Amino acid sequence: MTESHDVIPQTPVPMAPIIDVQGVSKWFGSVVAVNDVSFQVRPGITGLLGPNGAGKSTILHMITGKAACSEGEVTVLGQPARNNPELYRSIGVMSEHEAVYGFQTGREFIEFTAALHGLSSIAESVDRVIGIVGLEDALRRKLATFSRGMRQRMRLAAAMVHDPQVLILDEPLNGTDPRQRLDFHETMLRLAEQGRTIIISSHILEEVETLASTILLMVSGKLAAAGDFRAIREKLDEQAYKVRVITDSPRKMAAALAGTDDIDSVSIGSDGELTVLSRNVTALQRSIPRLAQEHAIRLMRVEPLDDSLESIFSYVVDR
Amino acid sequence: MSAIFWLSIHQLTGRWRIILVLLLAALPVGLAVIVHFTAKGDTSFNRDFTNILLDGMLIAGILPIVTMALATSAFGNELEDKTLGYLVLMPVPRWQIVLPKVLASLIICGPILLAGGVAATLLGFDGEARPAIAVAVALGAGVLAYAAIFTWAGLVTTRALPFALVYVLLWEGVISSFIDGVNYLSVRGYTLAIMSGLDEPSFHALEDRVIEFPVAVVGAAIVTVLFLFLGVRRLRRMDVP
Amino acid sequence: MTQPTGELFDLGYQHYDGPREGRMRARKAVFVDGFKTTLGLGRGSGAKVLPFLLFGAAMAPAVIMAIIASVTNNLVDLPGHSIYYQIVSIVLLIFAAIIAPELLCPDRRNGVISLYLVRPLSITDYVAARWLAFFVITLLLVYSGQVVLLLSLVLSAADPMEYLQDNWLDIPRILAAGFLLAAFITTLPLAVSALTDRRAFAAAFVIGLFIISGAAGGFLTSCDEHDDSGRSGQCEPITGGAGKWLGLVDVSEVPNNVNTMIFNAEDEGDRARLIAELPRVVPIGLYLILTGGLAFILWWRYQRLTV
Repeated sequence: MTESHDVIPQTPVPMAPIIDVQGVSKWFGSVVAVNDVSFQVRPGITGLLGPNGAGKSTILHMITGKAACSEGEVTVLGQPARNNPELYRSIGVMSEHEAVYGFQTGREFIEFTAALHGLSSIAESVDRVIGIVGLEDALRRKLATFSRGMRQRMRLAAAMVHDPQVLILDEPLNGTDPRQRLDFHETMLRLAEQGRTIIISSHILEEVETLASTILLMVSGKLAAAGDFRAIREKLDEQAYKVRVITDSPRKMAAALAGTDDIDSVSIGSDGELTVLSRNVTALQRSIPRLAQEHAIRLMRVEPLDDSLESIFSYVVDR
Repeated sequence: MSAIFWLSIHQLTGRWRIILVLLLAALPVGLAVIVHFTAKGDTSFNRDFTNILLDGMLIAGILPIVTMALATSAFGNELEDKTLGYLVLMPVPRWQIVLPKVLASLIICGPILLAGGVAATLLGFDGEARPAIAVAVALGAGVLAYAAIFTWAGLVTTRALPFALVYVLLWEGVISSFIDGVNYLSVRGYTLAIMSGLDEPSFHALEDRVIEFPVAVVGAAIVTVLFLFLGVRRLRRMDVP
Repeated sequence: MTQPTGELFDLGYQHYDGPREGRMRARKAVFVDGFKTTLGLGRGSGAKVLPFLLFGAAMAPAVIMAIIASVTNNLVDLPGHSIYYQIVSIVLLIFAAIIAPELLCPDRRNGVISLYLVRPLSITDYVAARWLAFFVITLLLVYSGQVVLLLSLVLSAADPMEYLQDNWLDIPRILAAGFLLAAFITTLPLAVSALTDRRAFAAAFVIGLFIISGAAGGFLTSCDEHDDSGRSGQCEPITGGAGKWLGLVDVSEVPNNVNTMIFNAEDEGDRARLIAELPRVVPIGLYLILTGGLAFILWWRYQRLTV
C-alpha cells in the first residue's frame, strides 16, 4: 500500500475584507457625525454616497486613520487604521480638501509625495502616474497656476504614485469636466481590474452608478444601505416598483392588470402610457406578456422607471 | 525627513519676512552703535546695556516674538491651509514630521538672531569675546527652546500666536517681575541665567535676578525635549483635518 | 359639498420691492458690524472675553483712584486725569493690537471684501466706517473712565462746586487728550492690519513694536548712576544731549507725550522730563506725523487693493 498525500479539497474561504469597519461611531461634543456604522469593503470599486453632512468624509477620515473613532474599530488589510504609519505604504488617499502647496511645481509635488513614501525610483514613478492622469505639459508650472480640474488630477496622481493596493478618494470628481471624468472612469476601472480596492465618495450619482459595483449609502451619520444598488432597490419593499407599459390598447391592458394580484395600482397617462406600481416584479414580468397575449394587446414597451441610483437615493433619503 | 525640512523652509521664508527678521535682529546692533558713539563711558552703562538692551529688548522681546512668529506658522500654515494630510498620510514616523518643522524655524531665526546679539554685545562690551560668546550660547538655547514650544503650540491651536504673545507678555514679562520663582519656569529665565552663568563678571547686573546656571541648562534642555515629545504626541492623537 | 380650493405658491426667485437706501445706509452697516466685532457681540462667548476683560482693566484704575479720592477726601495729592490716561493707554494698546486686526484682516483673508465692494460702497467708505467704529469704542472707553474719576473727585471734594469752578479746564483737556489718544490707538494697529492678511501677525507686530521701541527708548535715555543729583534732579542720559531726541523713539509713549503737554502735568519719569525739554512742537509734530502718516498708509493700501 502506497502512502499518498491526498489533496484535500478545500472549501473556498470567502476572501477577507480589505477594509473592515466595526460598530464605528464618531462624535464631536454632542454632535454625532457617524452613528454605529459597520461594513466591509472588498476589492473592486465601492461608492460611498450620501447627502452633505451625512458623515462620508468623517468615516473616510477614520478609515485612513486621520481621525480616531469615538467607538468601534477600523481595520485595513488586517491592521488597525489609526496610528499605523507603515500602513500608508499600501493606501493612497485623496482628501476632500483641494488645497495644495501653491509654490511647488507639478513635478515637485509628485516628487515630494514619492520621496515621503520612500520610493527608490522617484523619477520613474512620477512619470508613470503623470502619464496616467495626462498632465505632462503642466509639470513645470506652479500648482498655484493650475485650474481646479488640473489640481484634482495632480492630487490623484500623488495618491497613486506609490502604486497602492487601496485607494480612498473623497470627492475626486469635484471641478472636473466631462472629458476628465471619462478618463477618470477608465483609470478606475483599469485599477480595479488589477485587483485593487477603491472607495470613491461622491455626490455625482451617475458616475458612481456606472463605476461602483457596491455602494454604501450614508444618511445622517448612519448607514442606510449597502451592497449592489439594484439589490438594494429590491430590498426596499415598502416602495413599489414603477414600470411603464406602452401598448396599443392601454385601457384593456389596465383592466387586465387590475384583475391580477401582482400589482398595487395602475394609472393611465394622458398619452396612453400605463404606469404600474408593483411589489412583485418577477410575477409582473410574467403576467404582462401573458395578459397581452390573452387579450390580443400589442406590447410596445415595458421599462422600469426607477432602476437608477438617483431614485434609490431619493427613496432612502426621503423615507 | 529632509523633504519636509526643505518644504518648511520654503513655507516659512518669504521676502518680507526675512527682511523683517533681519531688521529686528539689527536693531540692538543699531542701538549699540548709537550709544557707542554718544556715551561718555559711564559706569552704569553695563547695567543698562544688560538690563534694557540685552534683556528687555533682545531676550524678552525680539527673541521670543521672532521665534513665535515663525514656529507657530510651521504647523499653523498646514492646519489653516488644510495641507497637513500630505505629511501625515505617509509611512513616516511622526517624530520625523515634527523635528524638521522645529529645525526649519531654528535654522531661519537662529543664525540671524545670534549674529545680531553677538554684534550688539561686542559693541556694548568694547570687543570682549567672552560676553559675546555667552550671549551666543544663551540665545541659541533660547531659540531652540522657544522653537520647540511654539511649534507644539501651532499644532494644538489655530490661535497659537496670540496665546504665545500673552504668555511672553504676561508670564515671562509682568508676572516674573513680581514673582522670582517664575524664572525657574520661563525660557527667558533660562536664557538670562545661561548668559550670566557663562560670564558672571560682565553680567553682574543680573546677579539678583537670575537662577542658578546648572538649573537653567537642565531646565532649557528639559523644556526643549518635553515640547518636542508633546508635539509628536499631539500629532499622533489629533484628528487631522 | 363645497369645492375644496387650493393654492400654488411661487417659491421661485422673489423680487425685492422695498426701499433701497443707498450709500449712507451701507456705511452705517459696515460701522455697526465693526462695532459688534470689536465688542465680540453676535459671536460666541469666547469672543467677548477679551473686550470685556480689557474694559474692566481700563475702568479699574479709574475706580481705584476714585475710591482713594473719596476715602482720603482729596487730602493726598492724587494722580489726576493725566496719569489715568497714561495707565489706561497700556491696556488700550494691548486691546487695540489684538482686536483691531479682526476688523480688517479676516475680510481680506477670506475674500469677503469683494462682497463689500460690489455694494454702493467705496473702499474709502469701508475703511472709514471700520476706523470710526473702533475709534468710537476706544473713545467711549477712555471717556467713561475719566467720567468716573471726575465725578469721584468732584463729589469727594470739600466743596464740589468750588472744585468744579477751579478745575473746569480739566474737562476740555480730558476731551482733547482722550480724542488724541483714541485716534492714535485706533490708527496704528489698523494701519498694520492693512499690510498683512493674518491677524496674528498684525497683533504680534504691534505688540512687538511697543515692547521693542519701549526698550529702545528706555535704553537710549537710561541714566548714569553717578550723576544722581537728587531724586527729582537732572539725570544725564548715557547718550548725552541727544538723549531727549532719542527718547522719542518709544512709540507707545507718543500719545502720552502730547497728553502730558495738554495737562501741563509734571511727570516724574526720567524720559518724560527729558522730552519736556524739547520744544513743544516736537512731540506734537511727531504725533501728527505718526498718526497722519499711518492713516495715510491705511487709506493708500486699501486704494491699491485688488480683489
